Amino acid sequence: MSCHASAETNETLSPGDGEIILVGNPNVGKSVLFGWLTGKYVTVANYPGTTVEVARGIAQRDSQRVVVDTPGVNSLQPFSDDERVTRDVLLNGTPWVVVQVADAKNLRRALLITSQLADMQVPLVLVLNMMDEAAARQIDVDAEKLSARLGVRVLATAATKHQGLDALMDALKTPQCIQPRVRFDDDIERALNALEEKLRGVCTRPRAVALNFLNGEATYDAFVRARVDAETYAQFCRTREQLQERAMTPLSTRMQNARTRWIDETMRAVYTTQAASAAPETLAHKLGRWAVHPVWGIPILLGVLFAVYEFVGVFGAGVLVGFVENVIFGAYINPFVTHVVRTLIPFSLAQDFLVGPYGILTVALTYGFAIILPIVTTFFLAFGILEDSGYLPRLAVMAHRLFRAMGLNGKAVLPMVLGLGCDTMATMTTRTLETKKDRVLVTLLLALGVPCSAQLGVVLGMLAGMDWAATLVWLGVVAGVLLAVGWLAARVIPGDTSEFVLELPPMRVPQLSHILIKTLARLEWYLKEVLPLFILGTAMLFVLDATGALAWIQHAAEPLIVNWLGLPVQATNAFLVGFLRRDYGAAGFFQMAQAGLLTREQIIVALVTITLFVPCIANFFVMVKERGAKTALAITAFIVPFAFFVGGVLNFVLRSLG
Amino acid sequence: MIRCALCGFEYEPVPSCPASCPLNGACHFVCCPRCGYQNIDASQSAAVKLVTEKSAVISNAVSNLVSRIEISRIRSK
Repeated sequence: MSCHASAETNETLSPGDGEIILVGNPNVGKSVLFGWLTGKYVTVANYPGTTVEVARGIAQRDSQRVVVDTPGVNSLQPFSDDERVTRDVLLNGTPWVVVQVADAKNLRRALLITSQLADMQVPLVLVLNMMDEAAARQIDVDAEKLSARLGVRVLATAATKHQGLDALMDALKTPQCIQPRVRFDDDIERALNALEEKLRGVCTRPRAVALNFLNGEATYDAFVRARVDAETYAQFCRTREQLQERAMTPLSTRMQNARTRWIDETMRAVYTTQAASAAPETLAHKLGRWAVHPVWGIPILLGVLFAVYEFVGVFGAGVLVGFVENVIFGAYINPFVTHVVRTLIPFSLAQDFLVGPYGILTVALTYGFAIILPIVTTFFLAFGILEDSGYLPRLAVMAHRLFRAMGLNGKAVLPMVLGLGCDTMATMTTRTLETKKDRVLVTLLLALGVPCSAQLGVVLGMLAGMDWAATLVWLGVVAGVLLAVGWLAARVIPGDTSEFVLELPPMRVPQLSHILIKTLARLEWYLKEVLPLFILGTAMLFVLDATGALAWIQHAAEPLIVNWLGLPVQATNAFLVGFLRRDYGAAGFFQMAQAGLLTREQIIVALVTITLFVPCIANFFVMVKERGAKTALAITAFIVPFAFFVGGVLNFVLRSLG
Repeated sequence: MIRCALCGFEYEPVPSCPASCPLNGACHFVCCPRCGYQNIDASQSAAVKLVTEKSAVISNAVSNLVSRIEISRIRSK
């Protein structure tokens, strides 16, 4: 059966015409199926105009048609080049049949693509792959019921074992289009029909194009503009704006909600897990439930934070740093290295470069190995336990409640939680947010007040040397700043606060070997990334000191550092290297505190100021790449003075309180 | 297979770094295709490889030693 919306098209023949197209999420067995269909003779070439590789081969078993293996995607609403290529193959061509390969274990994820293929009205066969793995996990997907519900052939397979594949060739001969499609609210459906009517003569998938155009997807905007005259395009834009103006909820959210309903209904009809329904509730399940409970979740959260604080701050930053810095480095390594350098190298400038007050060996490596390493080791161990136990997603749920109280858009929560791992990566995930305003504000919040795991470790380490009140002041000020900026952001960005959806994996007993391996890998990455920056920062201080510029900078910064923040003038050095990485700056303060150069109040002011700094130089470059140089500079130009402003106000408050 | 620490999704650790990442793959993280969380990929770590190889060598040596002791004990009987 052919269900192409229109046979008339202005398009030239393009990839996808009369072919068998394989689509699906990454890692669902598409390539295994491709290999089974095509045999050995395959060509791999970049899709025109991109660097994305698309494999093609001839179906050996029956039809002699071309089989195309598209890149794995999570959605046909493209964010990545891979998704764009797969979308283009489907949108521009008229395939003979589309074979969607789905991982039966992760059916919900596959159904998002299925719903988008339904919008496209392509002739489809759905392959439910990895049924053996699903069965092993006591997951049951009723393929017959799913077939009846969607109106297309659904095959249950285990491609790696070649189970269920024989029926595929037969199914390929009778592809059908999915019915029913996702049904949107009447207002959207009316607009869709109007747009679809106008697009019918100019493209092969008018409904999908109209839908994505209304959804505000930029590449579809360009697609439509290239195919209709200026007046029709302006009319399309007006329709979209009017549709948006008629409702409080963003248009894209309304469309996403309808799609989610379609997926939920399908899941309820065909997907069951025996394990969840039949097994009695274990202690792990109970713990998992309590951990996200609105009341019991809070003492559990406080207990976890206290345990991390004691382990990282008291044990890591106190006991371990004391031993490594004072005994191993202070008594053995540094005296030995200093003696060797001063004996072997006759030039005093070279000696100072290596072992002087700003020496690479005595400062950069001592900071890296004697101060930061013990702290981050304990923090990564604690973080690994949180990850492996399944508590981390529960922490995300608890954090979501806080963000929801701020009124922040629900979709913004995930990047903020990811920021606790790495701000740089989290900044990249903000591209999934819908509007430019959302993306800029969450990028700002991330850079402003979400410390990454390593930075959090060093800050916790310093705080543990003081009393609980100091920790509460630091936490209160940083959380207060985040809440204030978040609240302000929420006023600017109205949105649904209930969109945060996260499947909670079960709680489990962490495996020691797994945690140790992950910690070791994290430490290797951390040292590789930070040590060059530490060396660069120290070399920068050395050059500034040797040329006399450091004294000049310290003198010039005195009104800010000494008068406004109330810190000793040497704190200037920590702020200078803090531009490279916040934790390097914090390590500088750590050593000043150990040397007795900072009072309790000064430590709090220094930590608050450095926590509100731009996280690291990598984060700055990602902001430039993701948001553009102008926005990145504007964010940095706001954050740095703002951090000093908050630090100064805190200094005056603490001093006036005595 | 990597199991995402945030959402529990299991996936192959195929490197798929976003083009804008300044680390450009020079890290041990693999982003989860479902939620974007950066999971550590220990198989890329030289330190982990070294430790696992050495521990395998040590455990082999220990088991060889134990079996030799056992054999010599049986022979002496």
